[in-house]
Amino acid sequence: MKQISHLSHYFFRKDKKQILSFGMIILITALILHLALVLALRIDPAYDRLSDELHSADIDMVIPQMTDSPALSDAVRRHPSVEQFEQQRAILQKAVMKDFRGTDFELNILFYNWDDPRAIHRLSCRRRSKEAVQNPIYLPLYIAEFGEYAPGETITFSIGGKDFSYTVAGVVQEMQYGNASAELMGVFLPDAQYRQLAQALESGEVVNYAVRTGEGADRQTVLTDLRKTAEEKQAPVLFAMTRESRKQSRMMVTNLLTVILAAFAVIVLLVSIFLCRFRIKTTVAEEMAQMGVLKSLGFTSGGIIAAEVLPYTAAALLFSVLGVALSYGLLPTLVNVLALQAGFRFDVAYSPAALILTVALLTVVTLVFTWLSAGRIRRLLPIAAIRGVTDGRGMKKNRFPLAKTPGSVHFTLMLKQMAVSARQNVLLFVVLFVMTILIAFSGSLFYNGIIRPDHLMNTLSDESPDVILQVSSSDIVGMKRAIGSLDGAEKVLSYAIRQVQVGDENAVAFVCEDFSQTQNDGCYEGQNPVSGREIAIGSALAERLGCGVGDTAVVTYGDTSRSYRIVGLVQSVNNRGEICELTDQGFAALSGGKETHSLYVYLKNSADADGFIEKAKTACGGEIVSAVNAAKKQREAQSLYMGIITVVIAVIFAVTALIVLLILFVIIRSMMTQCRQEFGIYKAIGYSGRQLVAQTAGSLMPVTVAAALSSALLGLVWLPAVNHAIFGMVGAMKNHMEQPVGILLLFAAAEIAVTLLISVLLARPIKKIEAYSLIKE
Amino acid sequence: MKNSENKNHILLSVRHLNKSFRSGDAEQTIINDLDLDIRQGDFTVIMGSSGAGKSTLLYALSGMDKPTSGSITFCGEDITSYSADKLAVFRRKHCGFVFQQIYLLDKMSLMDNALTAGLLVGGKKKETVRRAAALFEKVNLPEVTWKKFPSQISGGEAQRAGIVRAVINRPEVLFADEPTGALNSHNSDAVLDVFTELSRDGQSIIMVTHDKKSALRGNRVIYLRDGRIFGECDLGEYTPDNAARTDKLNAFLTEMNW
Repeated sequence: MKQISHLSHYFFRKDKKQILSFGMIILITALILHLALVLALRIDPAYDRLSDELHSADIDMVIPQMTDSPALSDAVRRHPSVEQFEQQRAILQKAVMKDFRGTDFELNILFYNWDDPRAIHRLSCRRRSKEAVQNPIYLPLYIAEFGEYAPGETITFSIGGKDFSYTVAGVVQEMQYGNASAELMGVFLPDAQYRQLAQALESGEVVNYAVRTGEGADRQTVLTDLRKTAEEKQAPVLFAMTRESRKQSRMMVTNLLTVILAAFAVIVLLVSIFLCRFRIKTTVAEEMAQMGVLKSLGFTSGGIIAAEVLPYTAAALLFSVLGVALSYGLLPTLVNVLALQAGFRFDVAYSPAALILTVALLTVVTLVFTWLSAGRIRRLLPIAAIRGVTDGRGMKKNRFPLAKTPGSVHFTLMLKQMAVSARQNVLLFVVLFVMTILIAFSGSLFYNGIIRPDHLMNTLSDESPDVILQVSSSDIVGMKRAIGSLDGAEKVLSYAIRQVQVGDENAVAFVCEDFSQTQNDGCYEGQNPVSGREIAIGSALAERLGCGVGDTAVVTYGDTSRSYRIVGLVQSVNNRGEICELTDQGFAALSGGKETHSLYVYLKNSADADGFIEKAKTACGGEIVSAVNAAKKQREAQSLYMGIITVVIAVIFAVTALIVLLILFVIIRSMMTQCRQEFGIYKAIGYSGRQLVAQTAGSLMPVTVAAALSSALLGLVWLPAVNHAIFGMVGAMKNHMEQPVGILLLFAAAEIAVTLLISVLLARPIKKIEAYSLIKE
Repeated sequence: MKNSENKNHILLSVRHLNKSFRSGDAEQTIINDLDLDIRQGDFTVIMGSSGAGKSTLLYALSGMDKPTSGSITFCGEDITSYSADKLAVFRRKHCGFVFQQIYLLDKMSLMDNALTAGLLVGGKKKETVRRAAALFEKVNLPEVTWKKFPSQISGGEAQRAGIVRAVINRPEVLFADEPTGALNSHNSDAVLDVFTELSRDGQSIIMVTHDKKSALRGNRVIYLRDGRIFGECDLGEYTPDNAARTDKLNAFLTEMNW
């Protein structure tokens, strides 16, 4: 045992720097893997725990207050799966929040009475204004943090053309709603402000049935039952959501990030496996004579293998623990970013399971692969090893003969050096290939998120014109003509968003005069409705109703129900696929044609949307109830996505560069050890240090170029599948992402350039070695 | 001025050459204030006991190693101030090397070993290949061996291939460090015959050796002791089985306490 320990120490000292490089890669792997595991193992339970702490409802169902009745509440109470429920009064309004992260943001807002007692959906006040404020309001964490409203600051809601301003008195943690993608949020007004608002608006008073179900109840089924009950009692359900749909909306980004981190960790783990295999095999080749001597002295193969494997396994153990420790340093930042999007605070907690899984996985994988790689030692005959089976002895073919290969001698020598290094070529190819997968992914993100941000936005958002005008006039055609004739208008579409029921399911209906004129076609199967008898439905509805293209769906709006033929399936990330599309005629048959629509205005120059709104107000006067600069809102959302994408691309490039640096360090160090004498001979012949550096770095380039280009081009095949899978997870069955070959090649070229630069820098020590000292060695 | 007939031309001139190594706190002097001139066309043999500084002097003269002080001028130009890259150019243009351990590039065929040096100085590839082939034939390496790797041939064949690589660029000086040290008697003779033939063609050679038989091939023998030139002997032109030259060398070496 002592001898093995001595021998192991020798192997460690000899390969110290390479083992440290390997350790660094393990550290990166551990860091990423542990982050992914903590998110996977801790955030979900933390979310559920917080929901339980705040006694959140399993089902929320909003109905108009005037339709609420003791009969309905009795019926809800009697439902066998309902354990507890509470009626929470509120004022529901479509409101524009002014200066929400620098823009105007329209959302369905439920104004609750802060002073009403709550047994369900309790609120936990996280931050309060230090001083008493005039006209106070309490905001949920999501609106306060994402919208950038701090305690003491003012928030203004524009409702039906009137502005209502409040001062943020506190920020509350609630688990009642999702985030902006759920299209419904709640805010909380003290009793006096609540009453004032109710008086000022004279409409919109609603009751939220917050329901807690018993253990094991199928919440979706219970919701369907309750919705039927409400309809039977003449109470139309305005909004409804389950704990699951709320969670999906809040956790979408977290879940996506967890998957991406886990995939990233697997890729880096693959790299580290190949690296340790390469080093072990190289060490066996370098130390063959010594191993022969050790065997002749009586060391067993197992003993030598154990000594060889031990430093790598110990490094894996040590650096994976360090990686885990480092990940705890990064977790608070990561969690803050996620909290901003998810609207709930997650306390970073120690996760023994994540720690053990990370460390055990990396250590065991290292142990297994190094052990297998060192297997050649068993087959080594002592005398053959002592005699020194050099690399040259194994040479069978003289590749790239200097006399016949076209090109300069330096180029040919570079090719020869590459041709005799099969093991390093395999390692380099695998590393560059898998890292280019990440680079290609970031290239795709760059193109679709930064060069053509509309691709990403159209995938994740609904129809987005430049200006949305809410008009009071019943002469929508005349208004459309008037707005369309204004300077700067490209086209104007009549558009409305209404809450309907499809079958038994609540859904958002997008109503448009002509879907072929819209900019963001969300139809992923079949087609958009054209006639008044056609409908397209969202993926979630299709799944729940068990129907598809060619079937019939019954749509209910108010008291009227009508059948429509399903002609297509459409997506909506914001509404989790709970949508449908109807034509103007189709919806008029339901509504009686009395409802006013919005006008979606598409401008020739979207940057001047504010100027256009002024023009429209001047031209149409009081007939415009509200005007939203949707282009600005879209740009704000785009800039947010662009910021995230830039960070993701930068992180991918930085991690790739770091991993390539570490791998090249190991490869070039191994090459310098193995070819030390060779470099001396070259120098004696008259090759300069600069030439040898270029030759060494250049010998890595053919494999680098082949791996990067082939992986980047293969991206054309797999990136659509990856994008489909990723966006499919959030309900975008059809994405607008494109993979332009030029961008993929450009990113691959950047990777190649970075690899070349790193190779040259790492090979520079060759210059400092003198020919004479090399030959002496 | 390649391989000219100007026998009196001084190719290399060494003045007050010192070379010392630091080992821990102690400094060890290997070459000690040495002066030496090497004439063009001479086959100079450097002898001496182990540690006398023979190889150190050889590698300093060839620009493979930097002296601690003193000057080495090649054709009137001081090479001691050259940068590493400039010395590399100097070596590729003016020097050829033959080593005791041969040091062929083991992952290359014999032909590629020769061309690695030959193509470095430019010139047309076809001409360089032709010259390499001629040199291989001159050192009695048949074409069948040219594609072989160093591990597939004998030590003597490898050393002769090493000589081809050393002289392919027509260097002004051929430096040889114990070229027969690792060879058997038969192979040694074959290698020495190549040296003799090159010398007869006007090639300047500086050879370090322990071997009296090898030393006999030179026309000038320098004996080093403690980093200085302790003695020098002019043997005249080599002719096989020349007893007078052998006796003269024996007497010189006896005088040097060899």
